[in-house]
Amino acid sequence: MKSVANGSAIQRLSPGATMKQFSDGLPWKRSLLLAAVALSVLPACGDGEESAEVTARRSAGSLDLDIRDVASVELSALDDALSAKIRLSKGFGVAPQDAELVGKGRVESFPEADLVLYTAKLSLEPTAGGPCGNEPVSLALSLYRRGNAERVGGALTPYCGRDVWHGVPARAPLRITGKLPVPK
Amino acid sequence: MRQYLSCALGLALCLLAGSGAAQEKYALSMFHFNLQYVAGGMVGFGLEDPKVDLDNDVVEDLIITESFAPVVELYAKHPDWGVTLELQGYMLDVLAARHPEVLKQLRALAKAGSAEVVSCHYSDLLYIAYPGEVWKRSQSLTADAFKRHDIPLGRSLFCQEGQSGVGLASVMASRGYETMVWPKNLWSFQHGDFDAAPLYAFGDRLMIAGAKDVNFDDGTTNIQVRWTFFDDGELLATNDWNPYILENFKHDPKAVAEYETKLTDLETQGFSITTVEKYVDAVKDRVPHAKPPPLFDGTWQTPSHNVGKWLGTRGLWPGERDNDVRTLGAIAYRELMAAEAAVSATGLEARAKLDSAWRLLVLGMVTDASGINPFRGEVEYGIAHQAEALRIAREALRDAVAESGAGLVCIDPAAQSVVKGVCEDKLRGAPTDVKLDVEVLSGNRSSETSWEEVAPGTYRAQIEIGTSDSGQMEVSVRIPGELSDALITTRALEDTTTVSYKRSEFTFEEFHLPLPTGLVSLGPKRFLILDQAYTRLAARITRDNGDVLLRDQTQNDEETVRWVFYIFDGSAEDALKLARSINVQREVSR
Repeated sequence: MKSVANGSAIQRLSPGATMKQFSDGLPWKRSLLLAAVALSVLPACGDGEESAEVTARRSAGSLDLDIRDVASVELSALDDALSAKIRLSKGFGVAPQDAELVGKGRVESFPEADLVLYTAKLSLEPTAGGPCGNEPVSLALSLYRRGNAERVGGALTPYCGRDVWHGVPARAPLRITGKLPVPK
Repeated sequence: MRQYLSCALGLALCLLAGSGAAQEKYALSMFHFNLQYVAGGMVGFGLEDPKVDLDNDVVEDLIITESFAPVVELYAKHPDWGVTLELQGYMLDVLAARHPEVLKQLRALAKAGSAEVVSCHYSDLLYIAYPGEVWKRSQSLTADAFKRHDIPLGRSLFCQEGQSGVGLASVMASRGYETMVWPKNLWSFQHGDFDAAPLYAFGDRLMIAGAKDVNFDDGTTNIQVRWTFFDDGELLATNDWNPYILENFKHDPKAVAEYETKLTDLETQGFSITTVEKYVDAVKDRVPHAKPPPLFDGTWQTPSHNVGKWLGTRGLWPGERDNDVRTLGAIAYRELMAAEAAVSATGLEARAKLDSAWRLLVLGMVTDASGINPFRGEVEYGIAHQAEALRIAREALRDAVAESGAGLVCIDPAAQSVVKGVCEDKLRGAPTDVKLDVEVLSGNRSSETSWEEVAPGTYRAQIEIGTSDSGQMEVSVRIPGELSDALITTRALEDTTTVSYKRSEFTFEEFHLPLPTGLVSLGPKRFLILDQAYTRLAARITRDNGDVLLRDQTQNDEETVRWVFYIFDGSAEDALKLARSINVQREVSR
């Protein structure tokens, strides 16, 4: 690949063209912002009333976890910030079974592909007897949706160590698939 | 007599032949092992019977203990024999982690020259369906695995499912490969049966016809080649059982002994039991390097298992989702390319992060995620790995953009640049009247086709396909083309050049093309370009008709789907520029 000199990063950036439309409509950040506003609950405004309250878009469902087991998933999205609550019927040596796991992440948009990826990072204490031994586990959620389909698919990928979110996973990513309503 | 002996290598045993030239006899093998044979393990395969559920690592271990180790042990008993073992780099990592003694034995054989350990890629991925960078990253990972585990990487090249493409010739030298092993069926399907030459020219490299006997006698040199094994390596030591049938997938010493006897008999007949590498070394300076006919990219069991088996043709089990799996791979690839450009342009240190994403991506692009008969576990193995690769790629890209402080940026992987602001959208246009009468065959599923004029002579088609309440899973689109002898496409590993084939030079009636850049001609000056983020299917071409057919037999009937492709009128060179901008180095706004 063509190399770019270190240190030139900021200098390379120059004001580009004014914002124009691109693939599939509005620029993705603007589209998310507008969608969040559109989906927010707006109380009727009259003289002297306070500004509208923006509420999170929520979605919950039970997904197949590595085919035989279940992941109960609750997602709450505010703009592109995501909160996830996940409960696994089986821990696979990397997570507690039937415990509520929480994490923060993002709603990542890929407008040129009409795809959304829900991500979250769940930091867990060590699981005895698991592949990470006495180390904490960093469990990464990556769940994609095409268009407005109810079907989602993806992974819960465990890494050994606290705040370790890439590398060689502790075990093969746990497969997650199923139907999850579009957050609203 | 001396001129007929490969004394330095101690290979050939010479017998007097009727022609007067001493016979050189070589017995070759290609044991194609695949640790991702059942990618993700057997969980869910026994639909109603969890007892057959064995997880990924257990199945991998069985492949090693029941089928791989016995073959290694057999050849370890015969230090004068040679064997060519092909495996993915990932398998070496697993051997090191869980079967170090087997790895040690393999290393000893390889360093002694008894085993040529061949590897094309780190994961057994469907590389011919993607831009060349995917294979290059995977091959680099495998080369690294071989180095880390101190196993010499063989100079021959054979890939998962016999995936072969002439474009490999352009990259082999730089990566230390010498000889392509082209599977015979992929050749004979394109040109009919043939008498194999001892060696072929393959660019500046060499090629042999895998699994095809050679009987060569030019009056000076007499060479015979026989293949003792050319198949999935898992099948020999288990008496022809594969890992899907786990109750029978067990080391069968009798089967190994029979094979051993076969080799011993051949040796008695004067055959040298040797590796592909040593055979080539023995003959390359003494035989002509024949010119092969023109060859399309494909897989080894064409026509029964043409590349469509991984790109749209349905297998045996429910849950297959070829287009979904392969488009996700294309999307993750594009994001990784953008992340690489962003990281490079901003100087952020993210090599380890990006490398881990590439590793997960190539694992997820495993062939078994969409063919030959993938079951749900394998499909979701591909999806899971690719989704995680996508997450990491996006995170790396986001970090790089944040590092720049620029907010919204336009990332151009071709220019390796990051520029403030949104990319000008060069791939969308205004709605326009139907430009080409494509035929959508979707049974009772609704379909709606809309067109945009992106630029004069460039049209974007978007086909929305509805659901079915009667199980209709097959969707096809026929794109009309003008029949001309010339058919233009690109080959795997050659993303910057088109190739023109002559239909009249082939014997097949139809052929499935993998379209690694998405491009195929519809006539002398018209091209179809798939947007691989929506349409990652094989293109069926025929010898006697200019139309192209895209078909997905695995489209879940409860789900809608969108297909997107472009029709371009112009030169092949400009069509390729467009294809590259769509699929190979896609500019993105982030």
